[in-house]
Amino acid sequence: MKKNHILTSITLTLLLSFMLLSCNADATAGLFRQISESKAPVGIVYKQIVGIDSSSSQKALYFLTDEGLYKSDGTSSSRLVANAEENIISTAYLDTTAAKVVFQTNDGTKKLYSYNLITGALDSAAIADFSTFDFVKLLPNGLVLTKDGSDAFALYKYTDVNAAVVSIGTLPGFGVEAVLQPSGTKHQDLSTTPLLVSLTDGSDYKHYYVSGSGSSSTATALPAATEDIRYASMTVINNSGAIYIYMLTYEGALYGASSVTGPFTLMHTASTKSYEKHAFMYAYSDGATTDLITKPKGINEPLYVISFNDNTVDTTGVSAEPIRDGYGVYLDAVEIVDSYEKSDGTLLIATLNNGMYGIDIGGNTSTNTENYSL
Amino acid sequence: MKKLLLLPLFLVLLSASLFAADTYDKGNQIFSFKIGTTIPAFTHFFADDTNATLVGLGEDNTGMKVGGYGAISYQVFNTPKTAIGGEIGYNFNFSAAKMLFTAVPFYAKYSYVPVQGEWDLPISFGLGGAYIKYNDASMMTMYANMEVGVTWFPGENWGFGINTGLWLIPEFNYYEELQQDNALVGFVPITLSISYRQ
Repeated sequence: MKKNHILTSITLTLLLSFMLLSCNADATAGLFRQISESKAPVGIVYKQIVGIDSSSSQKALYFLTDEGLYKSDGTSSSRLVANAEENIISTAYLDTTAAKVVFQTNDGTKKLYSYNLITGALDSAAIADFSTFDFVKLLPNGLVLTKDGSDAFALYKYTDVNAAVVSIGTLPGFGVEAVLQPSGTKHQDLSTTPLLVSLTDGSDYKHYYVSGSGSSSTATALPAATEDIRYASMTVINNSGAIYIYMLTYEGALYGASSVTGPFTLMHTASTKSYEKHAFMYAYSDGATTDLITKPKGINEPLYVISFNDNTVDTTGVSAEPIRDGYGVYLDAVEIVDSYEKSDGTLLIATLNNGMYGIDIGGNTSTNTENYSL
Repeated sequence: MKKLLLLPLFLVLLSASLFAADTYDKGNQIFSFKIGTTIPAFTHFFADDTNATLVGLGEDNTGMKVGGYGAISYQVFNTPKTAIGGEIGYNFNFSAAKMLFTAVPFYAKYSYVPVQGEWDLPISFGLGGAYIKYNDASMMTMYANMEVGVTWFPGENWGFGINTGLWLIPEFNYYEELQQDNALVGFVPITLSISYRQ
């Protein structure tokens, strides 16, 4: 009897193990699907598409990889600034007016450095010194997010460390969770491309919508109802002065609002999708329907497109589907790290290990890796 | 040309062995250590209308490269020509993305040994389970195989062999959203073995 009991226990334990393990619960796609769709790394680890300089007859693309700052004419590329240990470029901004690429490194000095596009050399002195602040982060649009010793957060233009473009507020105990900018247009000026600054004290979040031009820029706190939500991505559609804000959570919920002060309506929940910080989300309209093209977490997740009527922020007519062909044909087995809008609906898509693609959403086409044009 | 001449000689030796007295008896045992390689042969997706079966190595095919396999097995003869036992092993293959796929098959094994003596020619069938893992996906699944091999015993106990066959590993997903990825995958193992019999 005792022997039977032991055998039964062993059998039940094995069966339970089989049930638990066979669920494939955490997978973003089938195991062998993931393998069959895997792509060989191209040897370039992109970090950021800094910008395209169209001021000369020969367009030039500037981008960051894990090896440093590069310039490309679309067919060949050369390294301008090499990363070194304790001096790795984290973010860069292309200032075409000053003919400089301004960048921040992890050297801990809180100074910004620059590469002169005219002389073709690094400027010897730091171009900006933010060392009086506790936290400094250069953004792709040339603004610098800071936090000082009294927990005051503000945004500065990199050229003026003395006068803030906009003051966000003083929040003791809070730190920066994320700066969310619309995919494809992160490099654009705040006047055309707002951003969202998310701060956290470890349990709650405070989100500030920053928009405007120059000294008239404003930072508006989102409603208190958003304070328990961690956003992964944000995009804004500006239609003749009316704004439509769309925000995606880590859990795959899409919220929409036609005003910064809300209400933020839950438009769609993709229960099987999850997103990471700075997830790709690009808004494209054909004149009647807006497609929010997103890239869920997981290198084998295809693009996931959430569609609804133009200029709406409710649940009416919302649909969603994965895209594995057309402009998304190569993007189902890659990790998108950055994007750059060349014109409405045409983007450069930089990936972590699989190179850069050029996609045309209206034409529903994609170039193969590294075959993009400027 | 020499190889062609060796083939009839080999067949004569096998024929002679077939009618020779059995080497094994009920209760004899064989322990084996295997090491070798696995070649991804195909991946079939049940739900796909087109390109349902991907054949071959690397990107745009099975997505896998040639991998490695090591195993230990134990078998006991229940008749002079058949043995039952089991095998547990570890297999790995890298994907085109240079990420690691691993499988740990463990299965019951039935072997028919029509030729035995100095040369053993076992034909084996295996059925059991395998724990498989890749990236963020892992699962316990079924496993089946068929193998043939040749083992040379220069002395009474120790033998050296070479084996090949076909593995079949299905993937049946529990969650509905993953069921479109249900698949059957085949590998061709080629292994060398060292066996001890008593």
